[in-house]
Amino acid sequence: MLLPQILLSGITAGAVYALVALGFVLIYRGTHVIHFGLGEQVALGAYLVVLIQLYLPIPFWPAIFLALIAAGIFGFIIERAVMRPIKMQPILVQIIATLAVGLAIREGLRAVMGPQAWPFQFLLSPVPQSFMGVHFAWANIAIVIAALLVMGALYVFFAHMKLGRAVLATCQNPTGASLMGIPVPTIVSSIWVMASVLAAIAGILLAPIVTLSPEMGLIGIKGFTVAVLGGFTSLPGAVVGGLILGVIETAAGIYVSTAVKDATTYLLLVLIIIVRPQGLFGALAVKKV
Amino acid sequence: MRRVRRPFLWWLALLAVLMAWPLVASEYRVFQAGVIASTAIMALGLVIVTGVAGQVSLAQAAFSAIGAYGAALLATKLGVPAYFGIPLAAALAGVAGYGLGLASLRLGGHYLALVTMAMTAIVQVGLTHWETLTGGALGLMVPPLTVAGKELTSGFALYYVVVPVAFALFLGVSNLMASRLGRVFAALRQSEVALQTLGINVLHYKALAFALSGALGAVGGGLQGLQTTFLDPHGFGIIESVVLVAVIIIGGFRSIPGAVLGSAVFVLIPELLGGFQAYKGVVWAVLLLLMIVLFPGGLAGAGAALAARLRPNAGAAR
Amino acid sequence: MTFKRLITGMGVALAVLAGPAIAQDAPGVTKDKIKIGILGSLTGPASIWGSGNLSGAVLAFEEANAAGGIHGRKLEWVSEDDETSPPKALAGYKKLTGQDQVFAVFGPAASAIGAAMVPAIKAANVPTFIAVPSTPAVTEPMVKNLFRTGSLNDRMQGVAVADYVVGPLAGKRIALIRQSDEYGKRGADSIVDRMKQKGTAPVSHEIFGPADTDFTSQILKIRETNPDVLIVYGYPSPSAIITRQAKQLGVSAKVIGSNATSSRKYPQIVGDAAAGTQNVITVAGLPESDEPAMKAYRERFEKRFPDLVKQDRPDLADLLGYGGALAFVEGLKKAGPDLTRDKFVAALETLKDFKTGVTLPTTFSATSHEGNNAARILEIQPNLSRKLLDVVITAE
Repeated sequence: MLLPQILLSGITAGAVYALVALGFVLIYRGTHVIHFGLGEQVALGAYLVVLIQLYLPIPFWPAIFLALIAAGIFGFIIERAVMRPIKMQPILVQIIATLAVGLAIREGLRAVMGPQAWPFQFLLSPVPQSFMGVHFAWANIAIVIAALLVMGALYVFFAHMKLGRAVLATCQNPTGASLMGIPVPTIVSSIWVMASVLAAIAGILLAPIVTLSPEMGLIGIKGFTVAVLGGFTSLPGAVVGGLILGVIETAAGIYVSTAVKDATTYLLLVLIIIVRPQGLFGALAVKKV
Repeated sequence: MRRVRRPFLWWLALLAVLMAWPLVASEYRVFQAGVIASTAIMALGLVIVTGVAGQVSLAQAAFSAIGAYGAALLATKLGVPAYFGIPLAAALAGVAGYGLGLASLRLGGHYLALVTMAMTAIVQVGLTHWETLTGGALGLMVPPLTVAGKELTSGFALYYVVVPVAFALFLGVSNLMASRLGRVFAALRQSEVALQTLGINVLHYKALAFALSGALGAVGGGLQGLQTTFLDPHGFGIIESVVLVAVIIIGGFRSIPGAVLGSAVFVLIPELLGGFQAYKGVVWAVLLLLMIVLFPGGLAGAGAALAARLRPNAGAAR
Repeated sequence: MTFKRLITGMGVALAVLAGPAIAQDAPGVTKDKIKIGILGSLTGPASIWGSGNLSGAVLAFEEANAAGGIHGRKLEWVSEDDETSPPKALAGYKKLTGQDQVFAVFGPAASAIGAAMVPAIKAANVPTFIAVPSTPAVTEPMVKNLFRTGSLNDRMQGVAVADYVVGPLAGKRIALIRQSDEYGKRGADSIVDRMKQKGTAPVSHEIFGPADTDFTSQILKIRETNPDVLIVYGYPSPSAIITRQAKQLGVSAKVIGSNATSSRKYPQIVGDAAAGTQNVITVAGLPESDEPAMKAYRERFEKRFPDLVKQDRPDLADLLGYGGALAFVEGLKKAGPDLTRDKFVAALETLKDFKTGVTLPTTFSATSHEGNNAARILEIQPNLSRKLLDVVITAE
């Protein structure tokens, strides 16, 4: 009886995680790095809009446009100043570096914008709607649509666009790619710029829903979880994984107990991973001897 | 072929310095040094499992929770003093670690990270929810360590408990990692397949690495519980596990002394940045980034490079 | 080889760390200065409270100095950041009381930190004044050198909210949703206990995490019980989402929030769903109001901290910090020119109904160091402005 509502609400909640997870997959497929600061870049995207509007008397949509450009530049700087110098270090070190980047963003936002939450404008209406007894709001549905659109766009990018295929080639075999004339450093930079813009878009969509505060970046943990669940290299996996996690969480809260919702969710995740270690859509990694 | 006497003398000298130092330092600094020591023990566990054996672990906060809560509960409910309680909790954590290691059978890389992360989350929810046992969100008071009728609560007194334990553990782990076990762990990181072809039970050794990390995490957690006197489930989450990984990265992640260096950096440097007020967090994060970029191999690696440059005729490096 | 390096490195580090171990004779008081330590979370999740604690203290102390000081002595202060971490708070406290030898400590500013530090504060026997956090652990049981005012302690807030909801609000079916941490648990436990005393109980009691972003399961379960009042006890971010989602999912109950949600921007963060919701607030007036004492304080604040204005401050934490610091300074004054820690503690205990114009009046005694036992209720209007209701809720 509650099932349709659980499904819909779970899907809209999960779409939030999926949108962040897509960013993880993008960076991972492009560079093999897990960007633990991605959640903070998501928050940064929304904060940039607020910041721009604080100092420039321009309306919301131009501010968004400027914020996306700023976010892309920021991603470029991160890649050049932090990731490029350490690209030969072990992966774990690079991951911790992304963590430090996230920390810098979070504390920087806290210092400049203050520790309290900021209001943020909804892009689509949050007014409650109801259809056949199932409640929703267009603002939440927008997230689902956005996740699907981003997934679609990235899919097309990797499968059909020259730059996308170049990215995949670079990631699999940098030497080979560069022998083929692919400008590897430029490719890597463009991945970071793309992911940063994607994160900013996610932030702008999510901020009114999850509340804009320096802590908003914590959503990165859920995004990471979902990306792993989906197989970490699979874009549809990230989206499906997110939707599944959202539904599992909601169902666990209702059918088990809200107090142990988190534990139940993680237990189920562990079960899934043990049964299917490559995640839902990932390919089983074949180790070359 | 190893010169046994010289390292031994250095260890002895170190111990002497460590034992004498608090007599000339303030209570505040001695307290901090004690916290560095207990953090270093937790970090040491990670050095073994993630640094040497190459298995990603985000479960260290869960193990330190088992140690801290285990010892505190044994003391409050059963009157078991901490010097038995902490080793008991460590044994429990070791068993849990072994179990977690077995889970690595089919998992590697980020899947293992997720499962270890899940363990931390589950333990944290358990601590928060099992209110009758742990006090739940309201926290748990840690009964002070009483030795010969005297309560040891000052930073000064606890230093003389924590630091010798840390010293002994570091000495022990050092020797362990230089032995065959250490070589197996290092081989795990470099090539599991090669190990398997040698007929070594890879799964058992992976689990053993986790078990050691768990036991050390619990000892560190139990000791730090004595220092902070109050346990809150909030302080044993995924973020705390991640911070410990960052500690060993900064220290130099396969390096045993690195665990101490990384802990010292994380405990001391934020305080030195106090002048930046609200901007302290950003400056600290930027400093971390600088350390990562400028010191591949962490601080221990930087130290090694410096030493190598100062003694160009040193014998073959290890 | 590594060990040798380790030793030399440690030798250097220890030499740097070594500091004076000898205590001074008069802790923090000289002929013309009184040294105060300010401890709070300036970074980390509780920085809302720590930064208000600091701003309030700085403003009040500077004003006291400008008015000639306290019996001829100027206040000087040292600020320590505890990074919302209990071990760092302990270390910071030891530094202030041991190394910096302050006369008294103003802070800490976070409930979890305060609760964790009670044994250390008791052992140090340095007067410690808490103005912002609401954990009952710092005043129940009473500690001789520890005072708290400003906030309404979470146990008392639970009692007050329960009384208000059952009494003036006349709720018949009361649902409760609270945070899983110490803050939420204390408030909720207290509400449930008080309701039990009054012969009733919540029709549902759901739990959430402070970082959660979706509350569908909690709200659906609450909806099943058909409540007319929904008490939300948690931090601003989750409370905002809950308020919105409750409306979205068809819960028509009246929403009552705790004092954590009483920030100026909260109505905008929630959006239209906030209209008609109420929450507890422990101030004498709204910081954005034009009532004379509040307006004057706001102007002084904006002049002193111009870069905080864009964050829509002063806000609750700033008010609590300032009001508490005023009470603190009053205690120093009443202790007289021959200032000792014991006299300061005794002087604080003589404060009766001390008004600050921004926070609720403070009353201490030899048996109670809980300065405030009252709160106001504010309601968010349809145009999302805030209005203080004519209700004052009190608790024992």
